[in-house]
Amino acid sequence: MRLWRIVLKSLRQHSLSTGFAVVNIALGVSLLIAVISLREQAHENLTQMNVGVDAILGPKGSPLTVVLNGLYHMDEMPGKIKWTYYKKVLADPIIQEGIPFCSGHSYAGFRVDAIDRRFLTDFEYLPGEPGKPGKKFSFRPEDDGQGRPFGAGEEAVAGWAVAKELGIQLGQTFNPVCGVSAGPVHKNNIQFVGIMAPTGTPHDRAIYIPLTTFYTLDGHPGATTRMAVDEQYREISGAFLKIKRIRGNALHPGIQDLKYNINQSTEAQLVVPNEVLPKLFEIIGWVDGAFLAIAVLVTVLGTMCLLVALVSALRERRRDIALMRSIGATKQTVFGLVLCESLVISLFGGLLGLVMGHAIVWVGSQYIKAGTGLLFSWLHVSLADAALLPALVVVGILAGLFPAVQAYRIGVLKNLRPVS
Amino acid sequence: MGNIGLPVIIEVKDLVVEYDIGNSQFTAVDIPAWSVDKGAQVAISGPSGCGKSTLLHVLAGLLTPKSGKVNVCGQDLRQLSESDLDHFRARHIGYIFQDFNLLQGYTAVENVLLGMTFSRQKPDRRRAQELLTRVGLSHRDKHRPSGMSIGERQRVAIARALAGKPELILADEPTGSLDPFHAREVVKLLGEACREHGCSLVVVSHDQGVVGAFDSSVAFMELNRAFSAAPSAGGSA
Repeated sequence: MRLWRIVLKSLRQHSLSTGFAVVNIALGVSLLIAVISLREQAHENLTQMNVGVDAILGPKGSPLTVVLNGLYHMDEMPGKIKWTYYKKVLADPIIQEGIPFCSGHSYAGFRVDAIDRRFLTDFEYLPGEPGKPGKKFSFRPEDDGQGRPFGAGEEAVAGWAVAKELGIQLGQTFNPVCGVSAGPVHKNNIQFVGIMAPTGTPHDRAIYIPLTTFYTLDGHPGATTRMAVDEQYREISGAFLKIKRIRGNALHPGIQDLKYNINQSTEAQLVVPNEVLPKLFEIIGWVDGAFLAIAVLVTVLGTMCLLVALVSALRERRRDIALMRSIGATKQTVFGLVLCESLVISLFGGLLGLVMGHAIVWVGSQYIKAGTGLLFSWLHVSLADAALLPALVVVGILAGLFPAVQAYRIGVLKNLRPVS
Repeated sequence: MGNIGLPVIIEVKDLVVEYDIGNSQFTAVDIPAWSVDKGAQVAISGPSGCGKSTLLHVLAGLLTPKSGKVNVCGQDLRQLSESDLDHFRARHIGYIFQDFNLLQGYTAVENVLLGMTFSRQKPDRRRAQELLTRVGLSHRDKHRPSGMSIGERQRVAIARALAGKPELILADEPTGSLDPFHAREVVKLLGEACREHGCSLVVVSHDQGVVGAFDSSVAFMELNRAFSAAPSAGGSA
């Protein structure tokens, strides 16, 4: 009988306590894996993902609000900026391109943003490597898109997630609502002429209409309508800016001066998303930390549970161990057997936790996708996955050490006294 | 008893075993000299409490004496560390207990396989089955001790003791839990099995019927000076 079979047999003999210990370890590990994976992916999505926007020209107010509204279709813009100021910034030699937009409308819970048509045709939502083209929005059926970009007039395109959730068909019309949640409904019947192929970005969760259509929506005051034709009066919510690059694909260093100058003005502010989004994690960092602490606590409890299970099992097995010693098992052998039991439980628990953890990430990714349009992968290999195996070995050894030492010290004669 | 010129499997000289009882010490065993020839089958008789089991524990390396020389299977046990004693027991000794001491969670064949595992032998299921067949339990190989009669359990214990191919089998009251019929059967089987496997046998028993079944026997009271000095004292056996 091989030693590993003795280990498995012993675990089977105490299947209830073994099972509880496995489940406890699995719960802790699954929580750790889920929290760390979601945390890592949130960081990657919000801070490292190259969204094709080097900077946002937005109204004065919270820079975080400008980014959340402009890129993630959350929150509301704190104001407007003048078109003439936008044109002035656009004329700066370090600006390569600008795409103006107006937010503040919605339909069936989704944001309706008015935007320059070039956003749909030229904008790279996922920039390529230096010298290589990036990814642009597609309407091709082979990419799961439909129709075409909007032209002039009362036309719209829907992001992939919006179309899927609302069952939007080409040719269908809708009436945008003034405001991001509830408000007066515009009478304009705006027709969907395109559905964008999925991008895995928040752009999947918005409806886009032409800027000119926005200004001329029925019900807007005359001043707003005038914006369509008179650039002196025109206002926008903001503009996505692409900054020229220097050697090494680095942003032009002049952006710092430009940012300083714009931010010193009373007209607008220049926000660099990759500088602002990490602050989001500073704000919600305690929630993040709390989840992580709970996960660590559950894992520690799981380890304690394993320790208790092994110690109580050992209490029942003192005679068996003494017997094994009497027929030739060395102290080192029984020490190793108990340690192996601990390792097997922690490895089984860990593997179960790995599966459960990724299942939690899958469920979470569905909610996140529905809520933000961000794509989280349940197969994402996080730091927790990478550290799992060595961590489980450490947990197994830590939990098994005390009972293993106890087993090592079991006296043969003392524990072999007749049961009767 | 050792004969001049024959190799001995057990040689004991000036052996003293003491137990702590409160603040005083109790001498359980005090044997000036005793030896057993290799291949011999010896029965040690004596009433309960005379120190027979204590002697067996010393011979198996389970108990360290206070003084004296204990040479078993060519090894001076007093020179061995605890770990070495474990290895010694695994390689050279088969131990049979009065109450069998089978692992309850293991089947008969698994109990025999354990004997092989811990004696550093390759676990050989076929040989384990053969041993069970030898003790008349081929049909009970997959049964657990709780589902067996007392006689069957002791036969499994004999098979397990033989599994490690020991040089010496020490049997501590092997028939103590058996009725006279099964006791005779087990004693006969034990003697035959040891002869077949070429191992020496030392049986400890208070049952004169068992002692009489062996070629050679010794009254422990004659060996043990401690018992004759303090006949009313209690020992571990």
